Amino acid sequence: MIAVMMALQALAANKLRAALTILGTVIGVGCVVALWHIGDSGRSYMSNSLASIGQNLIFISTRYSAGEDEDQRRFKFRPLTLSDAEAIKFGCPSVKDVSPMLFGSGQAVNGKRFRRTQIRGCYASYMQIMNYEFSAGVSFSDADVKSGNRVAVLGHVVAQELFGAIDPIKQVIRINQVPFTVVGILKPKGSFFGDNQDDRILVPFTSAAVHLGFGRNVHMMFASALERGLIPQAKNEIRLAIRKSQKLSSDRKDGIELNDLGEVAASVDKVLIGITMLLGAIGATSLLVGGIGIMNIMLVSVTERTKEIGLRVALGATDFNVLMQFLIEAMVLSGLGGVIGTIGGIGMAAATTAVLTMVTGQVWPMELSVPALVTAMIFALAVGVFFGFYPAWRASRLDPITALRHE
Amino acid sequence: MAESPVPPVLVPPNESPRVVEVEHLSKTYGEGTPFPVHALRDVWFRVRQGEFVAVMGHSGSGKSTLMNMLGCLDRPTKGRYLLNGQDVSRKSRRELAAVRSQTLGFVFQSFHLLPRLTAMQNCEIPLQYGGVGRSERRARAEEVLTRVGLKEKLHRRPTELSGGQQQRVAIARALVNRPRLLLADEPTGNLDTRTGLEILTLLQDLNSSDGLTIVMVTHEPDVAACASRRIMMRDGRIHSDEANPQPTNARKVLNDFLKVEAEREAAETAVAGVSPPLEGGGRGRGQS
Repeated sequence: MIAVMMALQALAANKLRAALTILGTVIGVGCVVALWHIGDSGRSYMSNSLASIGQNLIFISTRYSAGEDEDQRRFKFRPLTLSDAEAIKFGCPSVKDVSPMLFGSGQAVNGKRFRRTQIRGCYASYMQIMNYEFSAGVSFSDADVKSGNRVAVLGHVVAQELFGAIDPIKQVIRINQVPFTVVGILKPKGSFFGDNQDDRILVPFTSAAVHLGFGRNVHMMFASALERGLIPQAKNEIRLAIRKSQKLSSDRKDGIELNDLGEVAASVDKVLIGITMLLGAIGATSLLVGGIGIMNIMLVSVTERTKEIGLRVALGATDFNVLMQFLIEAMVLSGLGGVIGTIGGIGMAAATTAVLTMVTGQVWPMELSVPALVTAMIFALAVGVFFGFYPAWRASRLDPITALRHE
Repeated sequence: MAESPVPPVLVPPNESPRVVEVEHLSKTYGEGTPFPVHALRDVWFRVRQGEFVAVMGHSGSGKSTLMNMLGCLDRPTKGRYLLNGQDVSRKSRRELAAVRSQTLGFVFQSFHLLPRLTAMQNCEIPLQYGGVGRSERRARAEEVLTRVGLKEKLHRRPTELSGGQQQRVAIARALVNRPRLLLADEPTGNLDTRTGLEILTLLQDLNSSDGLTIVMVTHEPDVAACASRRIMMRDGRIHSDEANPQPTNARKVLNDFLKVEAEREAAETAVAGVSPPLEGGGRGRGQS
């Protein structure tokens, strides 16, 4: 304790110098703390996002629409069709539900109120696949899909925009001039990686194809596996079912692509790891530079205080006492940098997550991470010990006679 | 400040225990090189408890090397040094540090106080290294500062003190671990006549009242005359070593000096309208 007080007194004698010296450590520790918290926040953001849509989701698409790569020209991949969807529905025991999808956009109008939004043509099963719940009304039915009825389920945002406080159920809106009757309103669900799931209209697949003219080819299919562990098996079954439905011989390549959220999560994780590594590299570099700065200043300090060292030795200080005096001073410096850096890093993380929350429209949670704080402080002190040792050792090896005569 | 009838310094009897025994002490720098420097050659002497010894000599005579040796800051090339009956000439750096913190007190020409610390804190340093607890450190620091007449200045920093006061703090610091031997290296070298006399008065008092053993290096014969014994160094050898039968009484000299100063001042102020001429010798500077 006395040693720490002594070190603080010595540093207080040169406040500006001490402040400049610890800058590197401050930035380094700040980066480490910030990246740790942002990483944590990103991971919880991701798992929240994944939880907001079905965990067992499988996306089915083909490379048909992808365009001009060589494979496609050679093999002429077929587009997905409704019969493929039927094949999956009845031919895959691990698949719970499947829904073909048509994507489009359009202008939804109710009197003078309107909103440009996404339109999705799908089966009624899509509502189950996506875990949608209704705040009012019900889903359209399989019969609606079969007969191509002009009925619509509105996302929360769309309903607010078009109807405000009025009950939209049984009201008629126009989507791209075509009248549709509102049958249900979805509960708000938030964004999924920046895609606002509440800003859309769901209509029966057939209505989208016929009345809105989105085309007859299935753009994509959403399926759900019976449970998470069955996703790989479900994928195999889906591929086989589609190949069978498309009557592909076993040596033909297909353009089928099957993705699940595990892969989405993995790709997002890659981005997060990239950010983490970048910040980590900055942090490590700053700590290194900061450490060298501390070493430099400690060497200067030892030279400046040569006489003091000589005096202390004459008054009974052992080599170890002198070593510890300067080592503790270096540690106080880097520890101070650690504390300031930690505070700054937390501030930086809070600001970043706040901005991300605003940009993505979904909460990036910010929680203090104790392991992050402990690690940051250990790092800071380790820098002090590592880079403070050599100057302190030099101080402890000074010859007291020469040191006392030093001017 | 009444004149004391007792002698200003102790003259201990021959059978007093020996604090310092130096035998065949030699120190050679650059041994094995073409031009080795023989700083000390076969020095032999003893200091009994309660003695006040002045070591004199020109620069290069070996007196500084001898002081470093006595202060356990350096080790001899040859010979033996018994401090308090203990052979310290072959001890390790660590053991020597313990010897310094327990049995030696240092007073330097340029005080060597740490400017950031108060008088008290400066005095506590040797006790910190001796492992003395906080409350006892404070009590002892206060005690020694009171002993040197600085009871009112406990919490002043060196820059807030005059040169004489600073040297008193340094003496207090040297006394705080109750040393068996006080080593003073030109203790009056940086002080004016009056303040120097005051420091010598203090040293003589510490010797005669408290029985403190003092070895003092000086090149001023007037200062050396205050000791009970004078050792003259020359070319690394002891040139002469003799008792001083009539040590100067520093307090008496100081009082005479003050009297003369006061008279001169009175005479000067008596000459109205004439500004006092510039004088050497430091009138009334510093010390209260």
